[in-house]
Amino acid sequence: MTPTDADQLEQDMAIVDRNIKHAGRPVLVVWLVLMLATLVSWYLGDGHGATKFAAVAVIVTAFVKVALVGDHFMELRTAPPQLRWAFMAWCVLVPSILCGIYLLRS
Amino acid sequence: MTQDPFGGMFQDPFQGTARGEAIRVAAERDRKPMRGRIPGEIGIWIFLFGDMIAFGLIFITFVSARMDDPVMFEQSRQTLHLTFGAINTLLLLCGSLFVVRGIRAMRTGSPNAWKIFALCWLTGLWFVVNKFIEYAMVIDDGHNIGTNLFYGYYFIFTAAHLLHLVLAMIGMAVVVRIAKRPVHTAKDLRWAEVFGAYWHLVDLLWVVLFPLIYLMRV
Repeated sequence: MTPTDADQLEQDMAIVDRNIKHAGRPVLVVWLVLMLATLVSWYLGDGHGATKFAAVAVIVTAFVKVALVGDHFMELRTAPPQLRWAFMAWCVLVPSILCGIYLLRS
Repeated sequence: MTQDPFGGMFQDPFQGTARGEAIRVAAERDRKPMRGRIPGEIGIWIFLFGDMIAFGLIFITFVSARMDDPVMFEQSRQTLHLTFGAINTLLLLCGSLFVVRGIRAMRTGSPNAWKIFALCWLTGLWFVVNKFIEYAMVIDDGHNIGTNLFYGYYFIFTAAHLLHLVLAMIGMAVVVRIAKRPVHTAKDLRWAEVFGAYWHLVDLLWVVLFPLIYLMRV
């Protein structure tokens, strides 16, 4: 193995090591946020708060949760950017259409 | 590991550890610089995006149908059993956390990874049981798939999601079996990531479906 190969391997391993450590740390915090957001949506949807605001808030919250699941649980944060952006595009496009339909027709 | 005539002299000291996994992944990637690592493999992502587009259309169909007849949709929505939907969301989120922890345990060579995946499978089972109790209650209340458009969509869309969950549970059962092996290869880990990603997809689809059907008011 030439020195450059060894360097490259060391570098790669450092990145993978970092990815492994990185992927685990905030996961519990993200999970708590997701659980809490679910409880808040439940409360809001169960007849509390203004209707119009609640409907839009419920949609937006849902897709923020999806983005968190993608980034932290599905490890898209450390994935190739194209993959991450394709996922995030869905997380923006679909709720925009849903809110658009809701607000324009209500 | 069975009989080793060399007494472990030629064994990879990093096998089954995080470092061993790093070496394997680095070797697998042909020692090219890594800007980012695809979780699982690209094939599963193409499949997931297909599902996401299909469910995106389902969400849009449901919301526009709701705006066509808001009064009927709201009246029907109020008869749903909100608690089951909410608890099922929490269950899938717990399952997702178990997947993440399980994969992490596998990467660090822990022999307990399969137990964590088994817990995830149990949250799925609990979801299915809840769903059937909920269906029984809704039918008991005198509603069925043909009552009106709301219940039609409710039954079809939640059943479509349930089918996805059953597939994810089959995948998770495979992962439990894989994780039970004493040593995990890069291929083993990739399978866990593939089925794990599918589990997360089922989770995130419910995270959207639940508020749209159970919570959204007009």
